[in-house]
Amino acid sequence: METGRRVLGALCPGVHQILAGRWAAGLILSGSWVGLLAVATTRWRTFPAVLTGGWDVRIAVAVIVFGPLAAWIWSWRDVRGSREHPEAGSAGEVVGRFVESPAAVAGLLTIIALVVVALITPVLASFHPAEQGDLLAGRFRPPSGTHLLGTDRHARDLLSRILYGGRVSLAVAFGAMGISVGVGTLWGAVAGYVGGRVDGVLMRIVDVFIAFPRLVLLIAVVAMYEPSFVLIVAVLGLTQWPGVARLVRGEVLSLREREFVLAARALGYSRRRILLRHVIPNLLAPLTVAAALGMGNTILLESGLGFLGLGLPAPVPTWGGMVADGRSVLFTAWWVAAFPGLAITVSVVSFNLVADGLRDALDPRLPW
Amino acid sequence: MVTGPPLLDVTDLSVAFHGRRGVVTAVDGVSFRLHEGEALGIVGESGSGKTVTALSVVGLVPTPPAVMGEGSSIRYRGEEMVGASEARLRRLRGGEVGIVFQDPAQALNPVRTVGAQIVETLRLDGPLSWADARERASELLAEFGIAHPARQLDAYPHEFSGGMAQRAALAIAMARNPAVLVADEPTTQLDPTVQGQILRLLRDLRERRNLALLLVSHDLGVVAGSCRRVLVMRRGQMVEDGPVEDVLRSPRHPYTRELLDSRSIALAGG
Repeated sequence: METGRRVLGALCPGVHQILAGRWAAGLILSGSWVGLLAVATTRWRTFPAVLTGGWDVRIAVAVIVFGPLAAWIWSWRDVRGSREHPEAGSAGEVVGRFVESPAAVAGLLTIIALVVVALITPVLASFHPAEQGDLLAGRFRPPSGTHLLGTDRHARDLLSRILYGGRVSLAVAFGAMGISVGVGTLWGAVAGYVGGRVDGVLMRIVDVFIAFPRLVLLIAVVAMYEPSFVLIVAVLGLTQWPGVARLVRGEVLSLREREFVLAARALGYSRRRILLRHVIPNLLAPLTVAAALGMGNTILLESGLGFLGLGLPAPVPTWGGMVADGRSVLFTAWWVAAFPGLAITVSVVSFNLVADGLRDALDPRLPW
Repeated sequence: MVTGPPLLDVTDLSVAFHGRRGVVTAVDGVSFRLHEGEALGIVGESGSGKTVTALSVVGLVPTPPAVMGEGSSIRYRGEEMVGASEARLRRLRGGEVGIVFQDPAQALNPVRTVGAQIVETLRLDGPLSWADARERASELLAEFGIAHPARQLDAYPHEFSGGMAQRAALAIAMARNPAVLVADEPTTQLDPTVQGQILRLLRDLRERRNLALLLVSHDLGVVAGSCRRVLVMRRGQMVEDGPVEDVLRSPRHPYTRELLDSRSIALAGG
């Protein structure tokens, strides 16, 4: 029984983990293995595009080919190795607490799926997002075999547009979060650690930013300049950081009173070294939670901009823009607005669920 | 034994804290000298100013709110450290004077491995290859009595017991081979057996490296076992100063007698 399970687990990644009760790891392994193999068997004809296509196609094919391989190797090592009991305070314990929440695990699985799908979109999508079908008979077609989610007013395939739109949303969200976490961490850490007048000045600037309505600022900037990917990422990132700065400052205020900071000073470390290598690494837990929450927020804002027509310009598909497109035909062709709207909801909810799960697992004291 | 100029010469050290409710004088006119290879104990109840004295030696008392009294002088090898630049003090700390603190579990950075913290300290003295740094770090851990040092380099502080953590903290403090070690209640958080081991380690260290030790403790017994000379503090002032045997046998100040009595009661009761 035990041996059979191990053999089965070594051959089909995920089976052993699910049978052993670790269904989060099992679902990730089996899902990526089965899903990517399914994509490979149905869409292998597009693989030769690797030779002619751009980097996005090469990355997509690499993920499809090496993804199942990686899952298999991981599972095989997992089956062979004996698992030690997680120690108190270790990463294993955090993972253990995280997987206790089915909602958090569901959110994590969805996010992994979203990211993988975004990576392999060039191979997965049947149509180019801007490719127009038969403009006489092909407009507003309901979901069918060729167009799984139907077509829009320009007879474009909705599924392909949603897939490409997801790439945009995720890329914008990751970029903006990178900027806001980076800037906010440094800003808040300097304010909290240096203290005194520096703290006062830095935090008053943060107060000004937070007091300013974010959407108004976004609309003003996007209306003034031509919206582009870099602009949207920069604007979203640079309006998000004050919240991170505030959170980080609070954490640093308590961290700097800890004895290991005094000990670090007693060893002759410079202030910069203590801040960058001793204080900031201790912020990992609250920052992870803040980043996950911020991801959902950013996707929502980016979609909002798209809906208002202030997102990336026309040929680029964005979820917000697609919902706006479908608004006028909501009663005759509901699928045009419904599916992109669903995509927004699912991704935002997933990030929020993961953030909640992380907060419970890491137990940082967060102000929101 | 007491020959040549002192390593550390503290004269008339006064530290006051300016708070919202007035001025609190934590240390008031403390003077002592520490020579190479010598061990000096500072004993007193909590709040007697012994920790502030210890921290002052390396300029770790935050100013403000603390204010050094006029005429306070701390000389390391004849060089005045009161009012020295932050850069000079940074070179003093760790390189010339090392410190270990009371709670070893708190004194190590919880999110970085013990090895990383030792290597980082070693690299302050100049570039060092990864392999060499690990080799030296592992030797250090071994010198401070940690079994399987190479494996423990990758351990996190929470995986260490209190005694092991204090050994690791000592190894980090001594990594750059300072001439003076300030130990602020190094054994208070440890259970009695481990206390003995750590004190023995300090004694070995003093003999092997000719280290000068400034041992701060509330426990006369700990100091008596490790130091030749002892300084008794109360309310920021020195009430007694002299060889341990004299102080133990014929305390001049009633407070020292009280301390001794409390100790013997504790012994009788325990």
